[in-house]
Amino acid sequence: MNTSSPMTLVDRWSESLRAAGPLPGPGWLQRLRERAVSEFSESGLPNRKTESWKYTPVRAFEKLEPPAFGSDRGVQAVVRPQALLDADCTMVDIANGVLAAPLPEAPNGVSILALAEGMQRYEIQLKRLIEKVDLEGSSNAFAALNTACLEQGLVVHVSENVHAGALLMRWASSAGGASQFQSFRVFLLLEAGAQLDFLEQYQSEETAEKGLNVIIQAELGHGAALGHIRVQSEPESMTLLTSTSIGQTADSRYSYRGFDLGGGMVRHEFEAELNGPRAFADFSGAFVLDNKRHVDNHVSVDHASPDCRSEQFFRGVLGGRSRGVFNGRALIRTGADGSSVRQSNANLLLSELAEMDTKPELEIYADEVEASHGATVGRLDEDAVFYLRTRGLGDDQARRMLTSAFCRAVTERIEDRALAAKVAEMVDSAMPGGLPGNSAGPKAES
Amino acid sequence: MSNEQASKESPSVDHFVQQKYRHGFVTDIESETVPPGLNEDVVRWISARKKEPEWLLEWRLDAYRRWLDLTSPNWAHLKIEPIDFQAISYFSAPKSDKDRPQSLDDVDPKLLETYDKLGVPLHERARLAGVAVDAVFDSVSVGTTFREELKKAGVIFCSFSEAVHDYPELVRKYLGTVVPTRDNFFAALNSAVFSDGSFVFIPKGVRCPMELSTYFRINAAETGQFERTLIIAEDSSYVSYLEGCTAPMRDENQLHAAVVELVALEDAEIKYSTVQNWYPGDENGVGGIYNFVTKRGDCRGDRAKISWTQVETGSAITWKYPSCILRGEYSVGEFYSVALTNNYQQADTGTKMIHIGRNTRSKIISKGISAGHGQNAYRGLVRIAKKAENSRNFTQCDSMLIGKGCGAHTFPYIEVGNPTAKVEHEATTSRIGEDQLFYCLQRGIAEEDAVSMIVDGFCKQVFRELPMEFAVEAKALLEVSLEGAVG
Repeated sequence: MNTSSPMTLVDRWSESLRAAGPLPGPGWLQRLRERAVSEFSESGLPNRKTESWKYTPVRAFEKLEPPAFGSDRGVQAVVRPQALLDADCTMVDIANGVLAAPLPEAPNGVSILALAEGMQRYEIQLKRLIEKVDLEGSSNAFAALNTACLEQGLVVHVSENVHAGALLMRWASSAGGASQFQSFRVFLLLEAGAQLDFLEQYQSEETAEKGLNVIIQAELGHGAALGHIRVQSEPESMTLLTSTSIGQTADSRYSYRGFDLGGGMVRHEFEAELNGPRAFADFSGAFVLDNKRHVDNHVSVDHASPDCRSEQFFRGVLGGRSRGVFNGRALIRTGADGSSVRQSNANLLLSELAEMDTKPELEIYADEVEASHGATVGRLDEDAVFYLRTRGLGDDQARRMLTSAFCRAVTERIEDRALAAKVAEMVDSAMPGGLPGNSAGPKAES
Repeated sequence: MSNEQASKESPSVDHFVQQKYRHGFVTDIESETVPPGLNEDVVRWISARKKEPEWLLEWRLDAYRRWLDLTSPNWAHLKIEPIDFQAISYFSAPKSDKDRPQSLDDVDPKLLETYDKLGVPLHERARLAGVAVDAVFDSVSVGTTFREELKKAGVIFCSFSEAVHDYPELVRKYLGTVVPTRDNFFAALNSAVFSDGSFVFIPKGVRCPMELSTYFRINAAETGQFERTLIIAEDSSYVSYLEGCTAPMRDENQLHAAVVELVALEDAEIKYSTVQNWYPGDENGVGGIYNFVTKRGDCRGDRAKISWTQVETGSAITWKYPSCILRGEYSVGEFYSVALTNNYQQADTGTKMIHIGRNTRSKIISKGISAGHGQNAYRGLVRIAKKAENSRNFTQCDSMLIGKGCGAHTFPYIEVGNPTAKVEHEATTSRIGEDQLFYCLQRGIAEEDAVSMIVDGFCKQVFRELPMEFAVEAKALLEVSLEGAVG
């Protein structure tokens, strides 16, 4: 039972934001935070009539406390997950929405800074990025909220032509404590020719209701390359919102490989602006859901320059009473000739009560383009099941094998073979019921 | 079903029915219009003017009150200047003969040129151009002959107003059951002020002996801007209905908000074909018809089938989503569409397939062609409800772009709530094939001919579904509509 209506929730949260008083940072940021609070309290939370939130109810937020501030949030109690990569990689931990100190030593030509320090060094760039976030309307309520409590953040800068290697961010929340709604912001600044592999791992112990509202803003210089891998296996009590926006210039490349294997209410928003010729953005994701989990992927790519390419490739496996949402949008502006867009979303429904809502949109204002999209929702091909059974596999085994193969199409897009195999194993063990013969994924460190 | 039955039920109906016969119903409509604006009095006036029974007036008023609470939809991918609904006159009686062009010599030569290109027979040109009825070759008698034959088969095919008086219980039973008055802004508006339209009833087991067309219905050309169509196919019946015609129709009204309701009972099949070629505005996007249509079919019985085929080349604004509610088990919905936008035309069109019953099937084939500065959007919904086991949908929507200034957009909504369903959607958007054009030019085919040939091939899948007479004309129509798009 909900004791509070969304309206009172908005009032309550706005009030607590106002009561928090001025947060550290320059004057312009303080003014922007105040504006964000009033935008939030004015527009309120999105509802079913908000087009971009049509399929994703925001009921989960009613269980959460207002956004938290300060670094005193029971950080010590957080159990960090076993790292996806070898322990010697550059690693940053976020516990209960707080950046853990000390930050790792950065390789040459790379800066990894907390927001306050980053603000001193890159204020002009950060100001431009922070001001760019749309705060208006209920569809942007969570962006406004994130801006309103912009205090915890990470700034990563990679200098010209530097290959930074891998940076792993581990997100975790404590099992106990208040059901806070935490905000965090990440800035990734890649100069011309710079390269970075940015990995995110979301994994907490079975927790009380928790919420995390993350905004990632990346700027890619000429010819820069950002590889982004996200593996999310949060407990069902976690409400996770992420919003990733990438500003791309000529010849830059962005690739996303996302795996949602857990979480209660999860929504990922992506926005790529292809502002220079030959830029390339590639979004690939897989989600494996059971119980009452909800995963929503909202991808929007803006082709503003000629000869750019983009791809959206998402696969979903839905069991239990889960619900999956995919909304892919590609906009090709006038003059963006030579653009190429491919969208594909395929989904397997494994249970009577699962639901998938998909909407691959194309908006095209240039004529020299190639755009295609496809979406399917269905079950496993019975002929394929039959084929495997004639080879001596049991029905269950055959189905699991085919379902696993269905998701391999995404894990295989991870370039690092060892990591690809590890993620594939995690995907398999997340399958509703689990796949036999597979050990569970990374376990928690004690 | 007869008048006696109705009059026993309600004395007020009887009263109106009597009135109808006294006045001959069709006559006595010399130029009477209501002043611009819409309020309850206008709704009452329209209803009284049409000598409608009390229940229908109440129904209209209810729709009007609901309309007041609704807002004009703004989600479509259309740029529309706000429409002042209080500036429109909601009833204008058909023009009298003396206001019309007296002969083809008085008709705009541009219009006649188009008829020429489309190959419209001479005697039909006058009728289409709105030349006074008595000057038109024998159209009345053609209509009457067809009605005789239909009557023999037991098919009811008449104007909506006639149906209200002659078959009130049928109208009352089905009106608004597919598109409720509160459905959307334009449907509510139509329900409040609808002028006239067609009524079709195919009794159980009857296969309608001919393709029904508004073309053959007397007075059909003057049904006005708020048309209402209701087609009921009883168990195991079949009807094919053609709406519109390929030749551009002379029309004075800028805003059109029609409602079409189809009801298919067990084993019935309704095939509804539309060719819409209303005035699209000139090359600079000035003028043109605003077409906001709500079309919906309800497959109520098991194994019912509803098939929509549309060729949309006219109108400045097209807002239209012919839909199927697949309620009966094993029922089938189909949607075949060609939408062309040239110059500054805008179209936001598509379909909704709502699968409720088990083993329901639907198929969507949509071909969008954008040229000039045209904006063409496909917007579709495929919903598989929880209980719609073994349902199947296949959607293909392709867009073709001709020229730098146009746009092609796709907004497919797919909602699947049953694991045994199979839903597939595929779509492509691309420029008209350079290679194909080059090949044609190399063979000595002029560029314009080559384009129309390629476009014709692109649309073939849909044209195949059109009744013969429409299919032949549709090709010519696309050619004419695409004029000036190349080069």
